[in-house]
Amino acid sequence: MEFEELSDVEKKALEVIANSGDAGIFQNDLWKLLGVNSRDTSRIVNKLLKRGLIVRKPAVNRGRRTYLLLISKKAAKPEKKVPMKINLRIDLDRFIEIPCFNCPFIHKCYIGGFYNPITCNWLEEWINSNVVRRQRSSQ
Amino acid sequence: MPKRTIDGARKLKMFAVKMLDMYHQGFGEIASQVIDYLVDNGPLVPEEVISRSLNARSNDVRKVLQVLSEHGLISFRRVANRDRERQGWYIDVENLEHVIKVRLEKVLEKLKAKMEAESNVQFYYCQHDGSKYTIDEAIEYEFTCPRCGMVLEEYNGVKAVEFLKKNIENVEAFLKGE
Repeated sequence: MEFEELSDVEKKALEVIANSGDAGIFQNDLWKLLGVNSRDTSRIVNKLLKRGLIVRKPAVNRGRRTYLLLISKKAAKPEKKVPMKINLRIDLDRFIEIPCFNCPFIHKCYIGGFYNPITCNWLEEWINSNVVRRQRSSQ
Repeated sequence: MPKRTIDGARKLKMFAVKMLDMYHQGFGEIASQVIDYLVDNGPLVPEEVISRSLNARSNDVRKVLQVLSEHGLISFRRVANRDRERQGWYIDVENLEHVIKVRLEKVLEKLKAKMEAESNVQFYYCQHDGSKYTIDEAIEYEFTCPRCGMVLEEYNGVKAVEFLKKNIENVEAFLKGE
């Protein structure tokens, strides 16, 4: 989840390796299946290795030294995403209406400063809207 | 996508959205998406991944993350994990309650300052557009509104003080109860 997405050819390579199962697939067979050259394939394999999606073992195929590629346990069983639990005992609804509570400038706000609680427009609006509303409801 | 029924996340989102809306118009929407994303995708999400998956401008997302972390809602962490390093943003759940308490103390300070001013300083206001001036400003403008030319009237702050007092008591009661 912390990596960028795989490209199409990388996904295809991963799929081919996954489908080969426990037997695995030799790297010098893989590039013929993918239809890209062996140099690009070696880069793809390196990328998948780095992410821990596959494992490789040195092997000999048709008299040539190459690697046997196998799908890793991690890729075979992808981690389940669980939404985070946030337990909050404080009832924010009580304070959410106060503009200071939401104010992104509260740390810069002081009497005589650029953000000033006495001349603050947000605070003024909030008081006015509530006082006026209450006056209306009492009429 | 999993359904979110967790109340804490909803409250946190509401809080973040209000804050970012005050900060800059349109940032509230991004903040809501950022919190959703962090809740769904667990801890340690790098900034590039967030901005790419939200399809938002990366500098907007970066600013939103900065503001949220400035106020202690989210944090940044690096973790060295065997051979590779993971780094990213996460919601600072453990600190959240402390952050809110400290914040409420600050809110109390501001509301008290406002109440003091409302009850001690005589204000003049314009009935037409509702703008408010101190006595010095009113004398300077010769008791007419500089915007619309109406005569300024004495402002009665009793109701505003009452309203502020109620809110101050609400916050104080909460801080004492903890």
